Amino acid sequence: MGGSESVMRRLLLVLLLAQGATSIDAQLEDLWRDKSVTSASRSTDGEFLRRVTLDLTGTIPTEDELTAFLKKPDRAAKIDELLALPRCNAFLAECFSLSLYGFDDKFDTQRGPLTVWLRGQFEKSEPYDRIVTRLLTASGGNDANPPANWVGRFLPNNQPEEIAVKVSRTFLGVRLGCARCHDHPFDKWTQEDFYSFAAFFKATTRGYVANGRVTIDDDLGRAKAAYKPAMLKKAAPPRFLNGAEPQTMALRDEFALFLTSNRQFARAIANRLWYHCFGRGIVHPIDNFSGKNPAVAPKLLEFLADEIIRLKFDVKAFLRLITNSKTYQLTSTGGDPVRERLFAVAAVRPLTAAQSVSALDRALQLDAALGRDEAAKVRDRIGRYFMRNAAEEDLTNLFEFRETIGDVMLRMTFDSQRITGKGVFAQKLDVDRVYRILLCRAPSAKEKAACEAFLKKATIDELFMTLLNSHEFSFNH
Amino acid sequence: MCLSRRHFLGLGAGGFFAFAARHGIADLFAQDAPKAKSCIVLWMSGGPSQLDTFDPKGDSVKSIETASKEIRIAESLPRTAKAMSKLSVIRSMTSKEGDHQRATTFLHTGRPFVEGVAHPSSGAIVSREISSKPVTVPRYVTIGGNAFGPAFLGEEHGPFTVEDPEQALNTLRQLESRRARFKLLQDLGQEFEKAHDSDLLKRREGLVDRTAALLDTPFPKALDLAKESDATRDAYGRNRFGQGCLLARRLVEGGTRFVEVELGGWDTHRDNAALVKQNCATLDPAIAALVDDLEKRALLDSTMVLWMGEFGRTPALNADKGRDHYPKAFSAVLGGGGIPGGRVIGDTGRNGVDVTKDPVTVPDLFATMFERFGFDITKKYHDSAGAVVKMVEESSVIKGLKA
Repeated sequence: MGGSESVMRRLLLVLLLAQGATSIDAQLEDLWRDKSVTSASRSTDGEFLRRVTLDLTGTIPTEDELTAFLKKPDRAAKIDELLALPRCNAFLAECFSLSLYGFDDKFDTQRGPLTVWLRGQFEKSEPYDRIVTRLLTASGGNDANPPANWVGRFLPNNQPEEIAVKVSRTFLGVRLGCARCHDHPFDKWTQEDFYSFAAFFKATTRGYVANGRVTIDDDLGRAKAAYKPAMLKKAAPPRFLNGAEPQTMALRDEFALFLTSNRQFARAIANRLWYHCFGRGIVHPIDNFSGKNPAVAPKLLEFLADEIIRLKFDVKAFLRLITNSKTYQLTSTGGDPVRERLFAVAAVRPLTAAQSVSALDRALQLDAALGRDEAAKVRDRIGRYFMRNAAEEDLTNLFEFRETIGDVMLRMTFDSQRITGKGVFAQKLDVDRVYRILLCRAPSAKEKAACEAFLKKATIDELFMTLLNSHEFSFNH
Repeated sequence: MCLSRRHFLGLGAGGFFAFAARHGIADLFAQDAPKAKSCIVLWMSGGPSQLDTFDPKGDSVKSIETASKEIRIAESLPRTAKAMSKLSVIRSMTSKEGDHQRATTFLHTGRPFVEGVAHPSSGAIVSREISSKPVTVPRYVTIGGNAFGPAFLGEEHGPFTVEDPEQALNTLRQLESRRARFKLLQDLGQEFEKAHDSDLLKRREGLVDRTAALLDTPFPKALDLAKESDATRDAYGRNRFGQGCLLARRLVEGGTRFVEVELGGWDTHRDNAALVKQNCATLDPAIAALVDDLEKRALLDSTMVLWMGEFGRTPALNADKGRDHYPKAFSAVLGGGGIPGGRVIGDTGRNGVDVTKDPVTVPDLFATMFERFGFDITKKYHDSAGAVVKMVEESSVIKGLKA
């Protein structure tokens, strides 16, 4: 490919991107006018850098990265740089694996290989609809085929209901599970709809091989046989929510096709990725698209669904589009709950456990302090601890606030000495640096005075560890 | 004597009490039994064999007499046997859930497990319903094991988890020496808090403030088992579970309303007899000491003790001399908090295969517990999506356990 050609292509991409990002802003500006709210001003460069680094790579920027960016604050270039990092693929893989699977290994399946596999998919920019198809149709042993871990996780007793509930919540953003025992309380979904949806998985079985090993198969006999759920009292033939019925016995293949070509699938992933960047879905919670829970900006949602289809379900391209918008780059300062809900100001949102650990890791420079192997162990230990309350939970809504009083207690006792054995840094710290490292900004005069007063009776290390517990550090904003 | 409503209405308040006292019917209008103020759940994780504990069956299990003429229990629980006048056994617990995680959820929330839907646990409901005052001392504490959350009831009703009492105490002592850090956080937080009016930020502020405030409550002292005499500590058993039970009593004295203490090791798919015997050696002194101690301290009337696990075990032994999961007919034991002791609810016939009398469902057990607390068990909540969630699923309070 000639040099000029690639320049042209890049120019064209930039133009298209600019158009998409502008449209996001245009849609929302209309909404803000309608609701008579004023949007916040643009974020500071330090604020933007911290936010976008957390959203795209799951950690905070280093002090050097901050210095370099403040010198040359090219936001679009920074976004491209972050999206190209291996860390970005790893972070997206972790987010998707947690939302799809949960934290703890279950039913002899394993999340680890699923995460690694997802990372590979993001590395090669595999379209999301293809990733989902691979998940939905996975068969064979989970050692050879990592997506089989996901199917096995939701087939605890070889019954299709659990996987149907998870699929509807995760890939369509619909809580079809309510229709399991009775017709859905507010929506049009009936019990029959639910079991007909589940019936696509009636032939799928999970065979136990050994501890941690299962095999997923489809049984032709079960595919042909009628599926008679106890709750329904009659047979439920496979039928998608839009009425589509399979023409063959390859039920899961047909299901994947029905699902990924449905517009609600595009809406759901567009909304999920929006939630990833804003801490709040346009429909929120993201797994509750419902007549009783309308989108706060319906036109924007439809626009984003169009965009993700146009981008051929390329997750990173879509994230590039969102993070380049003015809306994403607004400040969080001066925010309030009403404007947060309308995206007229950047929201204050919790870090996930993975983000907390990575941020702590960056702040304490664990690799340098402990060596790679030991650092990995410490990260794992802290990560497990941070997840302990949610280890069993469904994490479809990944970015919810999960900290407990026990977590705060523990974090307040964190001691750099105990974690690293060496204190925070070998080199000299001062108040300004502590603020830059942890909060990407300089302290105000008042803050500086409070810190200096604290330091009369405590070490700079203690100051550092205390600020690791500040709200400002504990949230993305 | 017939006391018509009309007759009563004709009397003034003072007149009535005088009348009632004269006729010895004062307790007609007193509460029919003491109300529960707290509950201690002894959680037998893995699913305890009912057949080798509170519903002894078959030739392989020797049963012994207890303080209640109604009840015989397995010989591996000799000290518990002496306390059975204060505890009742439900032998007719029945459910359909034989998977550990799903059944554990069922027995903690009173509702069948549904993937992806969180329901509040019994501990969170007690914490929420017991008082509308702000939570200072954690009302719901788990010692070891499970920590089922508050779902939509609010974070402050979630479990305070104590994995190791000594460690928790150390943590609080460290925090005590770090009050300056809380002060600094509060000072430095002001600018950020002022610039951001956010619900989540307020929640976290609440957490940090509650953590700081906790240091001034009786809670840290309650965690300190060293305050107990050696004799008391020995009586409960010098092991995790025994000391956990002792801690539960101390926490209840300190204002905690729901404590779960876990004893694991009940998933006896192999060598059932030996493993159960081992577990009973830990369980027996702890449960007996707890009941005695609560009674001695006049806490038993207000503290319900509830022994249970996620399901029972199969009446027939498998090829490995083990017992497998059996939710169809299993046992739970409870007393205190106004629950009369010495009674048996239900039966499982000659071989323990089926409930033959007075079946009790998991929601029935929950309804009975909440009813003793004096809660309105028909109450309905709304979850975050606005759907109605009943405090208890369809159920009835166990009649045989009315005072």
